[in-house]
Amino acid sequence: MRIPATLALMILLPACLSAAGARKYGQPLALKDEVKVAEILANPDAYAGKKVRVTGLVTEVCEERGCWIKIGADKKEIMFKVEDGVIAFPMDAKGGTVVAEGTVSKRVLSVEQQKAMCDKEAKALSKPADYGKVTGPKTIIRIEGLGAEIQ
Amino acid sequence: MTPEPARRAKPWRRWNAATHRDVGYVTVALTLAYAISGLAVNHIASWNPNYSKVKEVRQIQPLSRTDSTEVLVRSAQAQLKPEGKFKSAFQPDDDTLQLYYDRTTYAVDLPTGKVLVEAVRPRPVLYAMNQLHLNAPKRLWTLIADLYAVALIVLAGTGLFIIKGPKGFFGRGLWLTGAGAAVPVLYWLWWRYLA
Repeated sequence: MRIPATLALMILLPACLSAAGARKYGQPLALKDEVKVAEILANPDAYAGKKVRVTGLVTEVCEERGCWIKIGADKKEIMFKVEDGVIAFPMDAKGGTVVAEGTVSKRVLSVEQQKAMCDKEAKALSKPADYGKVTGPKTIIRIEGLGAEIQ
Repeated sequence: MTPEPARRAKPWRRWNAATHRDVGYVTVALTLAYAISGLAVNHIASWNPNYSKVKEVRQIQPLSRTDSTEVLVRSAQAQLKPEGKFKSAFQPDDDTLQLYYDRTTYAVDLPTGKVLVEAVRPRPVLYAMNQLHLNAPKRLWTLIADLYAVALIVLAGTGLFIIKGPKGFFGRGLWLTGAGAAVPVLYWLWWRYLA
């Protein structure tokens, strides 16, 4: 009797813990004013380094670690990246409504930097580097996530 | 000639063995969960340890990109007849409509009517182990994980002194413990300064 009971506990305890988990991730939301995703993407220089609050749909979730989501609104999407291990978004967040806060970052990657990233990825995955996607400097605008609430 | 009575272990050694034994019993389930999850997560580049994903391509009648999202959603639903609870819809661009259901996403290419269906299912048990290993629940689980870490330290410490003699810590134990400690130290030095 003891072994089945222990096994049941091992299976049910995690399920109960995850079921009881609120849909709040990271730091509590603090900002009052919202900025549209399209506005950030249209004027990244104006928002770079600033904390923003955005609302939209979770259109994609990092499948491996849950370390990012994409927030979509008005036919625009922005990546909301969180620190690995600090926040982990579940896959079933996809399609949910998210209110999220973080700091906008804008980064321009040169061709050399992108190729170096390809090399690093290739080394990690033990496969040849693929430079096919590198066509020129690339601007990455994303939100470094601090906290989010998903309905 | 009367046989010499067996020597009893010193009290501290008996307590040490009892502590190691009982802490070991308590932590065996978590140790297995963390170890299995560790193996799974170590190879995250090769497979997804949390979810299994099934992809399928379906074909529906092309939809007009000039229709409103609401109309497009209704038209797509009427043709696809998806199962499960509808959550939301999103148009990332004028030619694409995405329908979100519980763990299933339909990405409709409006001009061609081609639909990519992606169904994601958590891997039973392994998903729970990974979530706990990565401390996804936070809150009380952080305390439990801390206690478990302390228990591992206790196990490591008490394990060194279970027995005495040539097979104890001050015999072969010292060599094997040194060899075990050398693995991370040497690997770190190689990775940090030579690799």
